Amino acid sequence: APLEPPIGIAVTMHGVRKVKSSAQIEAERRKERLIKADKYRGLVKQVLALKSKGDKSDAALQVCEIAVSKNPDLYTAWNYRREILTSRFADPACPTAKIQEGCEAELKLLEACVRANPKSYSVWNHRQWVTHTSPMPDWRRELGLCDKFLDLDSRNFHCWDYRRYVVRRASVLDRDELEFTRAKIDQNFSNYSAWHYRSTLLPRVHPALDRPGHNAAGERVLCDEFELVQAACFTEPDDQSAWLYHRWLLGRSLQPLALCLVGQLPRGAALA
Amino acid sequence: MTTPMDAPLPTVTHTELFLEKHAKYLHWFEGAVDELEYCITEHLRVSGVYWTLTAMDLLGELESMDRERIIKFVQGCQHECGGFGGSTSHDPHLLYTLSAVQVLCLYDAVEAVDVEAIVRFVCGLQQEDGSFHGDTFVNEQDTRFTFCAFACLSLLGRLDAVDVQGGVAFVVRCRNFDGGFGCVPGSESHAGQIFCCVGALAIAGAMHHVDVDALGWWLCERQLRSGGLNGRPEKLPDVCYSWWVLSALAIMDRLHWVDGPALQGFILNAQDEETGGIADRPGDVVDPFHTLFGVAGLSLLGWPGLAPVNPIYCLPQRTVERVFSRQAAGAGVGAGAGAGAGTGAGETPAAVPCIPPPASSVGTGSSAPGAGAII
Repeated sequence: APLEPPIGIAVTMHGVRKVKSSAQIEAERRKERLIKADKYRGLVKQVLALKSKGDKSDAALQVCEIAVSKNPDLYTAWNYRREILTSRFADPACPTAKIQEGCEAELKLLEACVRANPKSYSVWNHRQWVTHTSPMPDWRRELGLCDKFLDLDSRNFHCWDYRRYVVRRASVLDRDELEFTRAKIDQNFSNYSAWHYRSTLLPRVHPALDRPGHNAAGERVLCDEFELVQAACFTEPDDQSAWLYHRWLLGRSLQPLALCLVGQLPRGAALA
Repeated sequence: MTTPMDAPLPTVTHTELFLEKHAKYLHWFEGAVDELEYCITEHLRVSGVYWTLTAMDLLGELESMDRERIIKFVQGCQHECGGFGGSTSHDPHLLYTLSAVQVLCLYDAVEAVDVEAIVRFVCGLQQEDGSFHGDTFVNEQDTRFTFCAFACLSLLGRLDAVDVQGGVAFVVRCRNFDGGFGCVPGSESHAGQIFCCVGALAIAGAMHHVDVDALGWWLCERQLRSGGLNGRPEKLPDVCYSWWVLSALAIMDRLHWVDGPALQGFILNAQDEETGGIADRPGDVVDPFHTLFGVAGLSLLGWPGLAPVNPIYCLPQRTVERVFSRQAAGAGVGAGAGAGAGTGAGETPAAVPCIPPPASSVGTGSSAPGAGAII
């Protein structure tokens, strides 16, 4: 069965323009909303009732699915879903293939949920739970999903955080991720999220940056970064990303003071 | 060359705060149990109650709310494990546990629930790396939860029950190149997370981990031409960031680094004169969440007629003072008064700053290191 459409922006409370229309249209819209509200309320009651009875049937999973499709922030429904799946997966009679199948089904549900609400904590958390639980997670696909969602919204921090989780689990090289940030920055200099990620990767890929004193390797890396930042500042002078990153780079190029000599003058003496 | 993202010019501007209309709106919302906006937010109802009550108290209207009914509702949200769900029968979570404690503090009714169980619940969520999970159902760590844990326990006088230094260490690992903080180590700086981290560090008496000048600058750079504040670079301004950015600046004693009058203008324009209530930005639909943070932001800016608000707990200052002086008076029950390193049981924690007097809080942007400073 196709997924129920989500109730949508009403939950997020952000970016909802106040639109005034005729009294008649207002009345119609209000009636529609009251019906939706009543349906949703009934759905939540169902989820909570089944959960309190400890129902672990397919029907319970189905009710949860409809509920989270309407409102992905209904965290209790996600908890309930995990509870049911965990008990099924823990059954010694449950073959690995079945667990894998179950996880794949979850990922499908999640893809639809995340398209409807790409900023729901619950949705990304559940995805992390699924890939953690799955016997054979497809990290390449997960990375691809992150690529796709970052193309849609390059500032989605849920997606960036999920990407870093995938990168860790899949042992993706820092060097490759550094390249990825470069690609994102080249696409759009205003990508603060990419600059930020770069700030964490750069010192890991180039440990020379952290070695005290003059070192050619560290200097070269910094010069390359300064060039990148300059290009960004010229192209988008009003965007603060490059300026903030620039300030951080300046801080990195400070040479620590080296104490050469410490002495004490006798009391009353003065330097000539 | 793109123009910076900002809210469109408002079609209607306001210069007054419609206090009575906002109180009326909040009353209306509370009773609008059949409305879609009400039903769809059932899972966070306890937080909704906290937003509404705090706003009402700042507006001087707390008396008009039904204290007994609300306390009963909050009691009904506590589970055996000690944690509170977002509403009756919803699973326990740290977010709603904090909101529940905040509501009970407002009503001076903390003894209406099982405090020991709350302490056990919160402690049980701390991980080996010092971070806190939000609940026992999913492995989600987030600095929001560190704040929830510290705020909750310090309000109950039981901060000593967790590993504060461990919690601090996790927060420090979430500190970024720009002086800001994110959800987990490696996460981008975000005003909401920054409020949580700065608040947590303040409660723990560990503000030395904050580069107040660097972060103060990043925070005041959230202000746009419209006067509103965004949560991170190249995002739209939003009234809720008026709280998270402002309160963090207040804790860091740099509230005067934003243009107060411009921000006030933005918040006032986000009011809906027709229905009452405040929205995320001018022209949008109002809701209790933004109504609280708009009112709280104005209070921090010294708007006359509003009760002073505490920037760490987002509760009226008088509530916070009552809670901590009560703890000091009832000292000796093995509880520290909340600030990190072993303050005597008789002290109000240094981490609970007083509201700066209005003159210094409504400053102009000229005293801040302007964006041009680094060129």
